[in-house]
Amino acid sequence: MKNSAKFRIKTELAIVFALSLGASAVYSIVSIISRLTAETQLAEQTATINRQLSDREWLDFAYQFLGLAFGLAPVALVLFLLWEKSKSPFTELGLNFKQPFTDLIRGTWLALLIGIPGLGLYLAARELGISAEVIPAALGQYWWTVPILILAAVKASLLEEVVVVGYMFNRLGQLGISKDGQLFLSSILRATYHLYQGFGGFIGNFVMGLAFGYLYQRWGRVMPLVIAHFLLDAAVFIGYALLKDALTFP
Amino acid sequence: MLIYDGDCQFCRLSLEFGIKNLPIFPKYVAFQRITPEDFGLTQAQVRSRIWLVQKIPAGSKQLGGHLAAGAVLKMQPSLALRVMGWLISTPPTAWIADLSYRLIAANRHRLPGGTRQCKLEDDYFEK
Repeated sequence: MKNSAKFRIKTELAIVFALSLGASAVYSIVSIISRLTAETQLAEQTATINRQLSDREWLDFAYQFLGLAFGLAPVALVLFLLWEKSKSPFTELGLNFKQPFTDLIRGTWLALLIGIPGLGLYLAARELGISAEVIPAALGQYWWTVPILILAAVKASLLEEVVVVGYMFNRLGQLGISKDGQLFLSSILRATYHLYQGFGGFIGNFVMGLAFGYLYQRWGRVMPLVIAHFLLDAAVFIGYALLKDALTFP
Repeated sequence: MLIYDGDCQFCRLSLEFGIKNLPIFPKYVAFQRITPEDFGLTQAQVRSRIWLVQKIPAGSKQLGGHLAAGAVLKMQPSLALRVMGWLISTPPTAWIADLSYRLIAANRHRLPGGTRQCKLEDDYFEK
């Protein structure tokens, strides 16, 4: 590949990530510095994922919905950038319903394999005092709370798996970066934009990135990862929203 | 040799997932089909976690639970999987992996196991 083509891809990567999860990673680094230098210890702090955006119900709903809808723009952008005359980006990334049962089984199984150790890791990190208390959902009790949380899970799963795995692996591969190199860069990015949760979130998401990336390279499809991520987030967001009064976290 | 609980459907499905998705996988057998003491293990040990028994010059080495999973990952050709294996096996991340493993092991009867328990055949007796 010519240097000019490589420069173009690097520039494209920089723009895409500056508009999406690269910016989140930078904010996350600032956030962890802020947390570590605060008077309150990290273990005493909280990190809220889905928070209320207005006291007025209709306005809160509008902000939530718009935030989720526009949050999917980077996914549309990378699919557009991957769109070639001869091949659909959905086929390229395996983001379609051509293998529904296989994808569902793989996704469900992956959610279990990652989710349960992930919960263990979170509890262990809280015990060790290296993680803030993560509050998955702090929305009001409205009729739209659960649908919005489901949409939030859809958005997070599409955004992270399509951009950080499917698109990023494709472009890094075009730059001549080895498969292991792609895995590490993608996993480090995933871990970094979760750093606001503390070091438990960093380690857990680094391992999750390695596992998801490896299986994407093996399966050639992003759909099982999207399903797994959706199931994990939906279970945590909705489970927490419904059961938060009955749960005891360390 | 990987020794697992053959009566635990979640364990069998986890094993099946590993066999399908890892290029290198050790021989495996359900503890119900062997005498654990032959491998230097007790019944209580094999009931509580998986074990990887490795032959070493001085005899044999038993790795249980997360250390067994970590050792299997460290056998893989992929650098990423070997790093995962290293993270699982090395403190301080190994402590977290141990806690996670204990959490899964203690709740495995609550986890889905499907109905394919007869599909997996121990390869200890086949090879």
